[in-house]
This record gives sequence, structure tokens and C-alpha cells, in this order.
Amino acid sequence: MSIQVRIIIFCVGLGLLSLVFGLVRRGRFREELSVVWLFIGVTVMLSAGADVVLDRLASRLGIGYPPVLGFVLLFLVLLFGFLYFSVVTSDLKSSLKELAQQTALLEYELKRLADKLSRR
Amino acid sequence: MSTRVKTLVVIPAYDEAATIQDVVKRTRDEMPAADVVVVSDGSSDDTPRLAALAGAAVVDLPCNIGYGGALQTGFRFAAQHEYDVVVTLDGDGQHDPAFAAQLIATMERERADVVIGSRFLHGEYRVGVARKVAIWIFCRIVTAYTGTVFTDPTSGFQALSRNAFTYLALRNNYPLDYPDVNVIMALHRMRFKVLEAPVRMVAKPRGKSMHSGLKPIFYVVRMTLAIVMVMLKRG
Repeated sequence: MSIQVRIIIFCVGLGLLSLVFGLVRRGRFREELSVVWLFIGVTVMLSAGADVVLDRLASRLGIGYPPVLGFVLLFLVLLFGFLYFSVVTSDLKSSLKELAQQTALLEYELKRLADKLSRR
Repeated sequence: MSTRVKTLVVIPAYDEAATIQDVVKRTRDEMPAADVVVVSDGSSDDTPRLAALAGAAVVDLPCNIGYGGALQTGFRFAAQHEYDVVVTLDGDGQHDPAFAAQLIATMERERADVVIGSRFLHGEYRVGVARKVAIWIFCRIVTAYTGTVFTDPTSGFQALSRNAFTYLALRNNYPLDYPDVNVIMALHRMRFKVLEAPVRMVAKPRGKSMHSGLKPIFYVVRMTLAIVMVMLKRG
């Protein structure tokens, strides 16, 4: 990999990190959710020099074509990211259900009280 | 039906404007001593207004949270207003409210916590082959697990005691989508007595079934997972 390509990959990772930081700072992105993206940003930055490690690791693991190892690792990172966001969605769905139920029950009580008062 | 028992009929409804008035009226005619609450599950049509016009109390959920979520809202309503018994009926007119009294009578006589209305104990009721197979499989599972014979574990026509609906009203004790076999098993695990009694049901008169299209496949997978989870649950 040429030095120019390494610099570009490093800058893309750095850009992603700054973007995530900026979003968190402006309150557009919650800190606990941004952790995954910060991790991805750091991974992209490190991947600028990953070929050296990947080549050695692939040869140790008996993988003839080192980029395959890169794709496998990338797939695993995305898989865990997907699982993480599924858990977050599940939590949100549960919270939404609670809120919807509470809101509807409170609204009913409010209407009932309002009707009682108007009849007085 | 005992007159001392404070009964609430919970009718979950999602876009049931075509049938809800008739269901509420028939329920009030058959059970004049009971209160009726319609839980509109984020309906986009006139369901809440029509239910209120028919004389039901209406709890209007701001968004669609699923059949189980709507039922649980009814259980919470019943717990807050200190009802003794809850009867659940579908808003599509499939369940005949004339049989609600029998469910309650069975509950009192057998000292049960939940009585499920079975359409298969009261003569013939036609269902599609896929659903018949699914019901048969789930019947075998729930019967083996509880030691009680069940013929219609997917029925939404039920009577529940205060202990049972108060337990199911708790946050994580009731599934959002399909509260069927898994709930019976979970209740049995918590030492609630669950039985069946015969009821009459008619095939869904209008609208789309929640088990239409590819949903039965999803339902079987989802329910199998839920059953495994109940079996694995500790405590």
C-alpha cells in the first residue's frame, strides 16, 4: 500500500472521529451510542497500517489471500454493531410501550376528571 | 355470574370502526353489570369515537404497540381501578360475549386464575390447514408442560382473576405481539391455575386477520422462541 493511500485512509478515520465528536458536542448524537462509531473511526485510522499485521496474521492462520481476513474482521465488526443497535432498538421499543400506555391511561383519567368538573 | 364481582371487559381494537360499536353494544347487553373499556391501539380510523358512542370507556394509545401491549394496557386499567375480574374480547366481533359469563362461572367454580375460551370444545370451528397444524403443535407443547389439556391456546377470549391480570400488568410480564402459549406456560410456571371452557366464535367477519399472509410463519418461529425462553427462564 502506498504512503498516499495510507494517509487518505488515516484522514478518513480522523474525519469520521471528528464528525462523531462534533455530533456528540452539539447534542445530535447520544454519547452511549457514539461509542460504537468512535470505535469504528479508530479502526479505520488503524487500518491505514493494518496490511502489515493482516499479512502476518493471515499467513499464520493459513489464509492464502490476506484481504479475506480483512473482510472477515470487517464483517464481524459490522455484525456486532448490528447486534448492538438491535439491542438499543429493543430497549427503545420497550420504553415506547411504557410511555404510550402511561400516556393513554393518564389521558383517560384527565378526561374523566375534566368531565366530572364540568358536570359540577 | 356473581353480582359481587366487579368485572371489566377489555376490548383491544386496531382500526375496527366497522365492528366496534356492535361488539360494545352486544357486550353491554350480555353483561350489563360489567364495565367495558376499549383500548384503541393507535387506530387511524374512527374506532375510539365509535366505541365511546357505544358506551365504552376508551383508552386511546397514541401509537400502535401491538395486540399484547393493548391488552396489557387494559390489565393496567383494571389494576388501577381495582376490578376483580377481567374478560378479554377481540374488537372484530369474532368472540360471542354471551359466553363471557360461562368463563367467569368456570373461574369461580374451579377456583382458576385464568379461563381460556376454546372454540374447539363447542362444536366445529373451521381454521386453515397451516393454523390447524400450528395450533395442534402448540397444544401438545402446552399440554405436556402444564399437565392440563388445552385445545385452543391461541384464543384471545379469556377471563382473568385479579391476581392474574395484576401479574400480567407488570412491565415485562406480557409480550407485545402474540400473548398465547407462552403466557399460559409463564402463568403455569408462576403457579397460576389456567383452564379452558367452551365458547362460540365466528370466523372474522371483516378486515384482515393478524395471522394473514406470511405472518403465520413468523408467528410459529416467534412463538417457538418464546416457548424456549419460558422453559429456560430461571426463578
